[in-house]
Amino acid sequence: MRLRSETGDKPELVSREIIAYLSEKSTKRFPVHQVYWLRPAGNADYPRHYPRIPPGKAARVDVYLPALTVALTNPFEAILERITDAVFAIDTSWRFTYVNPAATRIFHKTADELIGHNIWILFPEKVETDCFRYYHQAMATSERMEYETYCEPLGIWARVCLYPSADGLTVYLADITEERQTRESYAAHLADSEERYRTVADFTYDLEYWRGPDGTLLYISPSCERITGYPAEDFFANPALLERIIHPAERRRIRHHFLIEMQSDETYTLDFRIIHRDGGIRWINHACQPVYNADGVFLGRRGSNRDITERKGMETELERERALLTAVLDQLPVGVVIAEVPSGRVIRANARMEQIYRYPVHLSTEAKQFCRCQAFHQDGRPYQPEERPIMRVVANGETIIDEEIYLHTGDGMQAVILVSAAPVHDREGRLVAGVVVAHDVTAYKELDRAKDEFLAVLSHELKTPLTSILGWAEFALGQNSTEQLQQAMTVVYRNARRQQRLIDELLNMSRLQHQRMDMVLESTDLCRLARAAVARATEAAEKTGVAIVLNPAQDALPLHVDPGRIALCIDYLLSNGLKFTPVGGTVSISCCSEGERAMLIVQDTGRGIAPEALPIIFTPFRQVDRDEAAGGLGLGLAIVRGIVELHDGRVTAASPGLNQGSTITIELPLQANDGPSDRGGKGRNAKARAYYR
Amino acid sequence: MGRRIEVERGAMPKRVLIIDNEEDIRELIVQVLESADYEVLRAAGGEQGLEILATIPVDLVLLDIMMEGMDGWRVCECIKADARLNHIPVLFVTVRSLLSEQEENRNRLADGVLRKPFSLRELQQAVASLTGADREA
Repeated sequence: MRLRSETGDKPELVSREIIAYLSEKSTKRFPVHQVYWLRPAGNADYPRHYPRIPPGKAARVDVYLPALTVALTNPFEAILERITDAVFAIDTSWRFTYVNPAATRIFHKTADELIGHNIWILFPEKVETDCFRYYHQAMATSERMEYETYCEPLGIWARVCLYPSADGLTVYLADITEERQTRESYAAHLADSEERYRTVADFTYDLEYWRGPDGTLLYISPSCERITGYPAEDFFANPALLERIIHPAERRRIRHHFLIEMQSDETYTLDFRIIHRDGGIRWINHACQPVYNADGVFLGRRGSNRDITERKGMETELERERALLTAVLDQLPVGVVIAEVPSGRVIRANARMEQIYRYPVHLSTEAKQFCRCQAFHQDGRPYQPEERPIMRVVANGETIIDEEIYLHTGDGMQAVILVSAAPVHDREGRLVAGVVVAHDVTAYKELDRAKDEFLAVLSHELKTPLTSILGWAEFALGQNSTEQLQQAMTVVYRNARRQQRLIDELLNMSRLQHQRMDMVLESTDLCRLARAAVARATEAAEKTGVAIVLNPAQDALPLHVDPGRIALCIDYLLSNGLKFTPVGGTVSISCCSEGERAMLIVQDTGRGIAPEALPIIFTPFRQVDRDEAAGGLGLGLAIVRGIVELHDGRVTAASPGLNQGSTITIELPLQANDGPSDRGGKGRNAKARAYYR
Repeated sequence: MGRRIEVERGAMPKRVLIIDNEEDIRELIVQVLESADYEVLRAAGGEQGLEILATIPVDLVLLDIMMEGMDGWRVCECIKADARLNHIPVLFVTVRSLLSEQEENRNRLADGVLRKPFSLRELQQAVASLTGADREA
């Protein structure tokens, strides 16, 4: 017997005397092989060296029979005398050495008639019976044995335990008649319920089967034919069929399930595909669990298999729909965020939203954390967290239309977004989510600003010469002197020409933008065009105090171009150079050839171009740091690019930096020797080719 | 102090400074005002205009706004911030329309705005009214 303290300390073997103590102190019977919680009453006066069981506390006591065996010659007899189960001992010569009163009742003999006598002589009818063999086996192997048997003389069922030892054999015999009866009626009941189960199982919609502990198929419901296409007989005839119908792609997973998981005590469920006898694929939801009888004996595993093909189809469809939704959201040119209510967590955000915020967007963060970009009202007031559209729609179901928000984005830039938000309600009208749509209008805002700026410049540039024209014309009307009339008309003419140039600039830009610039192509020489342009610019150069230097090429550079348009380009470059070069500076123009290209390079010693401005100087309406005094609409370089590209040429700009001058290079295809160039003309100047002469 | 200068120069022709980088417009104004017996000084830019103002007393400044370097608003601010000059009326002569609110506010610093293109009569009236020539006539 062992006694353990409740706190689970290391168990200590307790001397057998405690059995006697416990028996004396308690009226309870202690059958072997049981574990009890014992709580001694009052002062426990068992020997001191036993672990203390504090009064009122419980201790776990395991009672082993081997301890009892030894106890037979000891004060334990007292217990044995009282118990209702029969206990007797036999020595190695098969002589009774001890019988308790219960045993004497079974044998219908007194203790004296038994003690010292050979059991097989006393009960010769038992020789060569099962009982005889078990006793001998136990004695020979020294192994404990246990069996149930029917005792003829008493008409009872008994559970017999044999405990061999060096002294002989201790036999313990318990009356289990009642227990047997209960068990039998239970077995009958079980058979009955199995019948019922079978009846139910036979009509189940799902495929039910039962495999024995060794894996043998014991039962399979007729529904197997509907689900797999094979009748139950096929499964019984071919045990491998259950595995064979599994879809090849799933076999590995299922084999693992059968080999590993099915050995365990757990209930498992998994979805897999099978191939129906008709070749079609069916989705199966499989659940299996171990089956035990009332005595805890493992009876195998029960498997239940539901055909979920339809559901899977819907799930696949749903997944497809979801993927489609994600794809559509990510294709949208607007940022979309969806937050659920009431958790306020972001459940969806598309790729565009990240592009707008310039922050990685993490799903299932709270809406408040989602708004990482600082936001400002149009008047510069910062947005409070609860003012943000996503918070308003999630908190109050507010609808918002095109609210203009200024953002400080993750990359330190600024953006302007138009935000709309709408609540989402379920069928019962409860607020379940909020959808926020953000439209990045930074570029439009910039365009809008550029447009306003351009209009202001246009108005200034048109009204300035108009002021001179009207003013001097009115002045002339009141003059009689020819000299003053002459002066007035000169100014009027000059300003009218200036207006004409502006209008041409506008029209050229408009034609280029609408791809409606007509060109008349002729054979010409780039050097000649450059010389003429320099001659035209000389007067203006002298006036501004800037020198113009021409470096013509050694040979002629034949081109097949619209000479008027190319001349206009050179004029623009020269006037640009003059405009941005201070007094005393130089604008030089060089012509040369490089392979099949003619190059015209205009270089000045003027204020140069900032590196960040280089990429946009040829973009219309984007005149960088426009100089009020320089005049013009700032479309010159854009027109140059448009015209040069129409000729399949290229224009590039370079500058070492501000105030370090700039170089603009036009490249045009040289005309081939055998007449008009047929190069290029792909697409862009198709229109121009219609005007070959 | 301004009063004193006016008194001293009472009988003399009114002196007008015209600051405009557009030569044709500048000369037009000069022609028109000279034929109306004003004494006219010219400046092609804001800095040059302020240099003249520092040395020569004038009765009116005609000031273009959109100019290279110092624009008309800056020039006007300098005049109005200078105790020796702030008595001099300033007339903006500008093509600038479609003004922002901020620009409108800066325009209010001047004593008047004459929009280009203007008729010669408008010019003469504006100049006369600001120099007080109309009252003397």
